[in-house]
Order: sequence, then structure tokens, then C-alpha cells
Amino acid sequence: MRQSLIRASFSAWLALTLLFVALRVLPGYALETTLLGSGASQRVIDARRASLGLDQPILVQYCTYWVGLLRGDFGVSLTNGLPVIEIIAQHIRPTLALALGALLVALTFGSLVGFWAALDHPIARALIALSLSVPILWTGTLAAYIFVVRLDWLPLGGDDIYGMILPVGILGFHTSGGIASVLAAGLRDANSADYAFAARVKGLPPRRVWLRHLLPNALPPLVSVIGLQFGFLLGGVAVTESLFARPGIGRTLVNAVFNQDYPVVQGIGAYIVLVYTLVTLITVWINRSIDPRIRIDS
Amino acid sequence: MAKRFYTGMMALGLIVVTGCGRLPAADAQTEPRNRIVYGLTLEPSGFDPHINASSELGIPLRSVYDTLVYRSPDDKSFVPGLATAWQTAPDGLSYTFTLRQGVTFHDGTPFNAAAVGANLDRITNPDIASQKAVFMLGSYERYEIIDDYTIRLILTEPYSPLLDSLSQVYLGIASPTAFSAVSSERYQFHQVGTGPFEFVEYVPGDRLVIRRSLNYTWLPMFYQPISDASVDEIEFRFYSDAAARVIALESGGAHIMGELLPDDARSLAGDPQYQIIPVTIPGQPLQFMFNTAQPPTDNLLVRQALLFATNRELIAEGVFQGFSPVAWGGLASITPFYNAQVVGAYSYDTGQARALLEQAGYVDADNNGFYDALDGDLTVTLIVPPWGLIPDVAQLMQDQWRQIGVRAELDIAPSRSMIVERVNAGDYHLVAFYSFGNDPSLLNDYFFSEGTLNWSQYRSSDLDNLLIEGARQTDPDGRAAAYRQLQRVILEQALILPIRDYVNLNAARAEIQGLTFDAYGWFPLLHNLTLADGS
Repeated sequence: MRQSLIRASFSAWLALTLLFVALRVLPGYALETTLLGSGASQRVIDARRASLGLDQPILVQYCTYWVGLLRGDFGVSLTNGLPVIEIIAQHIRPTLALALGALLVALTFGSLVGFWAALDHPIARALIALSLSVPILWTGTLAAYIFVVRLDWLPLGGDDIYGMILPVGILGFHTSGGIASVLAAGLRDANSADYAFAARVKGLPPRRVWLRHLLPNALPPLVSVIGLQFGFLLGGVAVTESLFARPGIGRTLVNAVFNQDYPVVQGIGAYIVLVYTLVTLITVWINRSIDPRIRIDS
Repeated sequence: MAKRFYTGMMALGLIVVTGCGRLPAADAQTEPRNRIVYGLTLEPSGFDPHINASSELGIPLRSVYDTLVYRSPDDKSFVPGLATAWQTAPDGLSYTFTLRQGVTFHDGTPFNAAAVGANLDRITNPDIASQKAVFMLGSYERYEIIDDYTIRLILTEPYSPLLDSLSQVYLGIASPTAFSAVSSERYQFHQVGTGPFEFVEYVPGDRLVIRRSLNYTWLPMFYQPISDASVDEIEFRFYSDAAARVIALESGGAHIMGELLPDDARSLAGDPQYQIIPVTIPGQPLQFMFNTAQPPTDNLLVRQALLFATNRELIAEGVFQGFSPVAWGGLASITPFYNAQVVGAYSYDTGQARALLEQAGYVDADNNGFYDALDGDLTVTLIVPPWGLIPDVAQLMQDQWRQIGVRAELDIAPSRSMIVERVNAGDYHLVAFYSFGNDPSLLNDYFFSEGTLNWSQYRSSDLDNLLIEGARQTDPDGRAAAYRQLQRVILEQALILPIRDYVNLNAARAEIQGLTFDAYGWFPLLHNLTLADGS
């Protein structure tokens, strides 16, 4: 456990440093492009830049960045002056709702399709391929056109349960492909193992073989995939959010990148790193408790 | 079995968390009768008109704030707003405003000279780091309160764009009680003005809501009296995805939608359920600026040849579906002080284009269909941002120029900062842009020798003097003469390649009536909106 903590901290440090460097490699910063064309003189623009500390050597900025991060201070947005923590907090609730909903759909649908695909059914394989390879912008737009415009069953967006159905369903469907394919592969592997054969020749009913003997063995890789998918969902899904005009972390991040609003991008980046680190640690912990082999190895 | 039970409970928990996050809080008493949803494109990064600079913020807030003066949407003349009269000193160094009496802000604060003064103090306070409003004040230095309803603005030098600035939402008059009660970055959530609508709430990423004020007792000349059909609450939502904009409109999720793509507008135009309302925006048309410091566009003949080689009618028709008028000069045709003599300048003529290139000494010795330069074919590089259909325009230009023997390379610059970076590197021949506004002083940043956006690298004291003259002259005829001359010189020197006037394609569902826009084109006169019966 201690080792995974050290590994997690190292990944977090690396990710946050890469983020810092990536942003500095890009030219310009949020305010400069707004001020150009607003009638501000170059002198004023330079002065504003200096007041934000952006004229400091990059190493000094890097230290300031880390001192802030360690104190839990992510700074304020360059464009609207709001604390980054607050901006993230405002968008977590809709992102969390979308992520949990989509994960639930993905787990339900993904497990069903996964079992089905383990039996090598072509429709199940097609569903997995569709889920993994077709861009969400396409299925999302199509679903919106059918259910919102043509059938008029659902609203396009909105914060109530009806407004959530489409984004949650679409996102859940696209998340389910990964879960289904890992589950199917795991089940198939287990199915060709000797103990599966032994269970069958002992005369156990097929349902009991699949659920009691094969599924537990297919579970550990599945848990890892679910963890990764959940981390991805919690990081916000910009395309789904903008298609359904929902607030959320992903859309905020994309806007901030376009505005080159460094503190917001860094803050959300740190949030995503934190989420992934936590989810990974939890996944490791779950796998240890469901898989005796991991316990023995370590 | 127990495990399965827990799984079930967890699933139930998830449904509760995701589904029932918020129940609609219906309050029958304040429930508005005529409520509509207005779709915006991008969510501005900030919604404080004194601090932020986006055009989108004015779409809702133009109706929350009044300004001292207004521009008439019909002839763009200045008409009374919160000031009933104003006087410019003969030396142009001070403006005296007589303020309207009996006006109160939505929070009950009385409107008077002290309130105007407090707003000017806020805008010029370096701590709020205004991104636009403070620069619009130009040479403004301080104010003097003459009496409760008279205020004088003092300038360090004449600045004739001042009235235009004071007519814009960025200099809207806010309640001093409201903005002193919270820190500057919080005020965007608690805005209070004197306008026809009250600010209700702004939820970042989700919505901004305004509701009709019941105390709006005076009307600027362009507002109609309200009726039972008047819209009384408007929710603004952010549809950044173009497909979602059309779907929201078709499903009735939104009643009005701005910034449609020309193709979408064209396909909705035939359907009686929708109205398409194209609005030409005054300012600088979509245009490419030539780099006059880099061969071959340092040569006037080459620049002129490229102008002649561009079929702008075809671009306006093909890319913009005929919704946009072709632009010929540095100002959009509905901008005040526009010089109509530019119409037809450098009209499409490939023969003329080839003749000019040959006059410049170019030949096609290797007979490959392209004129020769020192290192291969005659080639120019265009810096092309990905927005506003500019890549489509640039591709058509590339095609058209190939026909006269010039190669064009498109350099896609994905953000404004990238454009600035490419320009600073100097390795370009044309760069695309447009801007919005009613006062031609918006040309300053682009055409002053030391302008922050002088991407043409053209430096001439003639242009500088004309720009200074245009901003200093208080006499409209004097301004007109300076700007007429300026627009002529810009074309004579072929500093720009104008393409089309910027047109905002708005769509509204059929039941919406009275959707008109103010003198700046971006901002709807929401007060006049009505909802037809039965919707």
C-alpha cells in the first residue's frame, strides 16, 4: 500500500509539471488577446502581464505554482477574477451527476453485452464496436435529433431527470464498450481454463459455472477498466456537455484552454490528477480484496 | 445474496444522486407568464460589463443597464438615455450631462450624478483591471458633479468617440449600492441596473436569467410600451455546439438562437415555423490584412493583383449563402463615416490581376502555370483562424489565385494568441480578422504606425495624422473628411483585402415577435419582444 502511495505521488507530480510546461510552451495568455483590440496600449498590456507575475522567470513561476498547490491555493482566474477552487466546485455537481449516471448505465449495459459477447454473439460484438469506434458527437447528435426533435420525447438538456436521460444514456453507451470487451475477454479466457472444464464435467449448471467460477476470475481487470473509465468521466466530457448545453468540468476546461486561463487549466488539471490518483488507489484496494492472488504476490 | 442486496442499494443511491439533484422550485405567485429561452453561443469568461470585453455579455445585459446616451437603431444618431441632454465644450475638453430625474435602480438606490461618478470611479479603478470599458473612455481624466442631476466629464485632450463609448453596455450605469456591497469579481452574480429587465441569476456554465422590471417608467425612443403579450422573463443558455443550436430551436427548447451557420440558416429559412433575422454588424468587415514588410506583398502591384484576383461575390454566395453583403473597404457599409466610394474597388478581374503581376516583373518561365519567384513558384502564406468560416473563405481564395498563377499556403492558427505569435515571427503575407463597433476610431489599433494590431507593418505619418484628426475633431463634418480620406488611402495602398460584412444570423420561432437589434447589431432590444397567443 505504501508503495502504491509513493507511485501515485510521483505520477501526480509528473502530470502537474507536464501541465505547467505545456501551458508555458503555448504563446500568449488570457488577457493579452482580449486587451489587443480593446484600445489598450502595449505599455498597459505589459504592465498587466507583470502584475500577474507572468514576466517572472519560468522557474520562479514554477515554484510559486507549487507553493500555491501545496497550500491548496489554485489562484484566481485570469479572465473573471474568481478563485479557481470555486470555479471547480461550481462545476463538480453536474459532472458528478453525469459521471455516476453514465457509469451506472455502462455497468448494467456493459455487463449484459459482455456476457453476450463472451458467447460470441455477432450483435454483441457489433454493439461493442459501435460503442468504441463511433464518435460521441455523431451518436449524440443523432439521438438528440431522433428523441428531441422528431419524437419530442425528451428535452435537449436541463438539470432535471428528463434532461439527464439523453446525455447519461449516450455517455453510458460509449463507456460500456470498454467494460463489455474486457469482461468478454476475461470470461472467454476463464472459460477455456481447466477449472471451467472441471466444473462442467462435475455437472454444475451453466449459470452457476459462469457466475460462480468464471466471473470472479474475469473481475480484476474489469475493476481496473471501470476505475479508468470513471476517472475519465469525472474529468468531465466536453463534447457531451456542449452538445447537451450542460455545465461541467470538461467544458470549463476547454474554454479555459482556449482563453489560456493558466490558473483555471492548472486547477482543473490538478483536480483530474487527484481524481485519477484516488480512483487508481481505490481500484488497487478493491482488487486486493477480491483477488487473493494479488494479496499473496505482495 | 447480501452482496447483491448492497449492489441494488448502491444502484438506488446512484439514481437518487443523479436524478433528484434539484426539484423545480415553482412559485405560483411570481411565475412569469411569457417566459422564453434565448440561446447564446459561447459562454463569456466573465459577465461584468465594466470588467469583461465579450460581445455576448451585452446580449442579456444591454436590457439590464441603461446608458447615459443611446444610439438610435435607425439612423445611429445619439438620443437621450439616462442623460436627457448633453453639451460638448467648444474646445472638446469637457462634456456636460443633464441627468434624468426620478429614476431608481432595481434595488431602490436613486439614480443621480453621484451614482454616475461612482460608476466612473469603478471603471477607472486599476484594481478591477477593466479589459475594455476603461480604454473606451479614451482621454477621460475626471468628473465634476455640478449638482444632483448634472455631471461634467473632463478630458485631457479632445476625444470625439466618447459619446459612442458612453452609449455602449460596457459603460452601462450600475447601482453603486450593489457593486460596493460585494468584491469586484462577485458583482457579476449580483448585477443591478436601471433598465427594462432585472438581473435574476447567473449560474456559470448553465444559465443567466433576467426578468421584466415593473418600475421601468420611462422609455428610450426605440422601446414600445409593454402589453400582455410582452416577454417577461428570459433565460439565456449556452449552446456552443452548432448542431445543438439547431436542435434546441427545432425542439422548442430555445425560442431564439444567435450565430447560426449559414447552411443551417438557409435550411431553416424555408420553414414557416422559423424566422431568420440576419443583422449586419457595424465595424471592420471580415478581411485579410497584407504584410507590407515581406516580399512579395511588400510590392503594391502584387497586393493589388491579389485584390483583383479575388471573386468576393462568389465567396459571399458560396460560403455565406448570400446572407452577407460583399465588403469593399475598411469599414462595414452600415458603420457611421463609411465611405461609399469604395464600392466596386478592385472588382474581380483576372486579366487585370495578371497584367499587374507581369508589370511587377513576374513571368512563368518554366510554364507550370505559376509565376516564378526566386525560390520556386510565387507563393503567399495566409494566417487563418479556424472560426467564422474563415478556412472556407481561404480555400476559395487559394483556388481563385491558383487560376492567375499564384500559390497560397494556409497556416491555420487555432487561437488569437497563435495569430499574434505567427505575426510576431513575421513570416506571413496575409492575416484574417474582423472587429465590431460604430465609431471608426476602432481602426486605430490596426492602422496606427505603432498600433498593437498593425499587422500590415505599414508605417505612414499620413495615416497616423488622419487617425489622430478623426478622433480629435469634434465637428462631425471634420471627422467625416478625415475618415473618408483614411478609407481611400487604405485601399490605394491595398493594405487590406475586404471580404464580407459580418452578419449575425439569428433565428426565432414563429411565435416570437418584435425581435430587433440596437445600433451595434449584436444586442437585441429585448423590451420589445412579444409572444404570440397559444404558445
